[in-house]
Amino acid sequence: MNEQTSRSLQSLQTWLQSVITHPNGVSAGILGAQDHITLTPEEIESVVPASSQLDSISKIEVYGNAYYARLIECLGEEFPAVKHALGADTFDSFAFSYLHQFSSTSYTLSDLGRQFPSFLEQTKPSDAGELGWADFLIDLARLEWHYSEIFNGPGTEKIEALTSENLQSLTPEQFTMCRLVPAPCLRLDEFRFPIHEYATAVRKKHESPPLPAPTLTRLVMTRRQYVVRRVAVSEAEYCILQELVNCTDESIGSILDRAAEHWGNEMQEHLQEWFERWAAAGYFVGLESLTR
Amino acid sequence: MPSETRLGFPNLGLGVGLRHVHFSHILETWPNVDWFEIISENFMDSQGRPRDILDQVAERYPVVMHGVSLSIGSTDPLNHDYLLKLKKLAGEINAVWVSDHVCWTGVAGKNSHDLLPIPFNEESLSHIVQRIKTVQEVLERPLVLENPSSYITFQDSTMSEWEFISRMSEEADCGLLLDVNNVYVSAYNHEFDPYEFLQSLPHERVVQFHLAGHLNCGTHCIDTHDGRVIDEVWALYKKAHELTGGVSTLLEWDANIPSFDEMHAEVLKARDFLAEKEVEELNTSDQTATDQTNSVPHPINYYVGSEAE
Repeated sequence: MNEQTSRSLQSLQTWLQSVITHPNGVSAGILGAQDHITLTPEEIESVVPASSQLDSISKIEVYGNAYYARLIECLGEEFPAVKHALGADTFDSFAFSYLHQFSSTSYTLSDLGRQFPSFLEQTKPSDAGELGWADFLIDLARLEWHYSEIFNGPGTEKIEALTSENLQSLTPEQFTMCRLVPAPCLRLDEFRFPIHEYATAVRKKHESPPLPAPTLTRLVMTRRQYVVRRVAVSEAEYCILQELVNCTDESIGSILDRAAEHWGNEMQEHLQEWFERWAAAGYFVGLESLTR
Repeated sequence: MPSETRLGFPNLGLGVGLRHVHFSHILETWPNVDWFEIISENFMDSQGRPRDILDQVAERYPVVMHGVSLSIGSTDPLNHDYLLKLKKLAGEINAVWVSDHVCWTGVAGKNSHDLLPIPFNEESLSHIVQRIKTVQEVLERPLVLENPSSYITFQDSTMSEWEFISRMSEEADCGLLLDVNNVYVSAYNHEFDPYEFLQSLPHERVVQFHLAGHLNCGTHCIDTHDGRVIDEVWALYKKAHELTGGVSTLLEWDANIPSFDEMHAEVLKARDFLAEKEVEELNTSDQTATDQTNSVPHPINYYVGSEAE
């Protein structure tokens, strides 16, 4: 041990982090971290002493190897269907590139995969023409991220959702003066493939389904009793639900009047059934007056 | 030993980590375990099933919070948002104490999610003591800090790890979580006497012990938390018990996790070791490995449980 420190704690930490996270390994990291500590890999013992059993580079490599291994494993846990679709080796390669581009800046690993779907979008081959494999993976990653957010986010388990009776007994005044308050776990999203079926086959049934043919798929996702649930809905149901969720300054009646102009017979035929299903699934948790 | 010597913290007995693979078993059987330790970050943001289960567990068992992201040794500013969440969770589940590690996890805004070692010198000691004091002011409770396993040391160190930890705990007036397996792993890797480490600590500040399995790669050991506790670590535990008078003991098992009963049985061996009884299935040697590249030190500490129906 030295009697005096020769470097600041900050420079040592910045150096070590740079070295162990370098994508080309510790030796490349040492050469790339000259701004923090100027030395060659051969001079590494001036910073990190060797033991009688292990040289300094190998010691640092314990951290370097663990850095990517640990975080790639976490991403694999977060996106099991994407990992299955890609195969473990290819997934790990994508995850490695992702981690190099998007280092974690959060105290929680729950945030690690937040930008993975957009990373896949950004790295999609530019010459890809028709909908294909890359688009399927992007959609699948987006779905799995929805699942993670819904699973750990706020839910309705400890609050009363609106019942079918509540919805059926809305007064004309409430229709014109109120909006429906969506459950905090409610998500709507459109996908280019029926990726929910693929994800369920992989995640719950441990099957290896083939790549599905492109089919515009509109999903409503939520959580009941701590289990994430999803259902594919028609375009009309999706669009009306989307309006009810997103138009925060418009009454139920106004939204339904506008929807009736667009969806006409389909809406008339199914609206009651939809409301019953929305109530049963707990999509809405209250009424909010727009006159406040 | 009077509880005052443990910063007011009680001896909870023999506990295990609360891990998601055991959630269903715990809810179905409410096992006869003394206490649970949680990874704080797995629950502090959860508003779903993990948090619901934690609430149920906390109604029935003492719960201790063990964090991996405080980064008390980092030169980055303390994350006050994180600290406030930690404090909130500790209050809500009535955590008996809150612990983390003598390490840093990242700098310049990044997080490696690893427990990185600090050089043991006056600069880092002063830095960490000041930060512990700040954290204790925010949390309004003593912080308990663990000696991590390490794989490198620094030429910039001017004192031993045990001198650093001893002075740190005295100057910051914090508690210590003595990870006996980490002492073994670091002693193996850095070629020091683990008993000197144990002997030199301020024993009255040791609030808790950790036990775990590790991987011996021949040239070094990796703290993998993926197996049983080896005899050499049990021997260190026995010595630590003698020196401290006995404190709350917890087994960490975070990879290749066995059934709850098997995991619980492993920590219950502590009673036999302390009573000097013969223990079945003694682990006479470390797990050995020739390929270290797939061995990840310490737990992933990450729970992904989202399912869709």
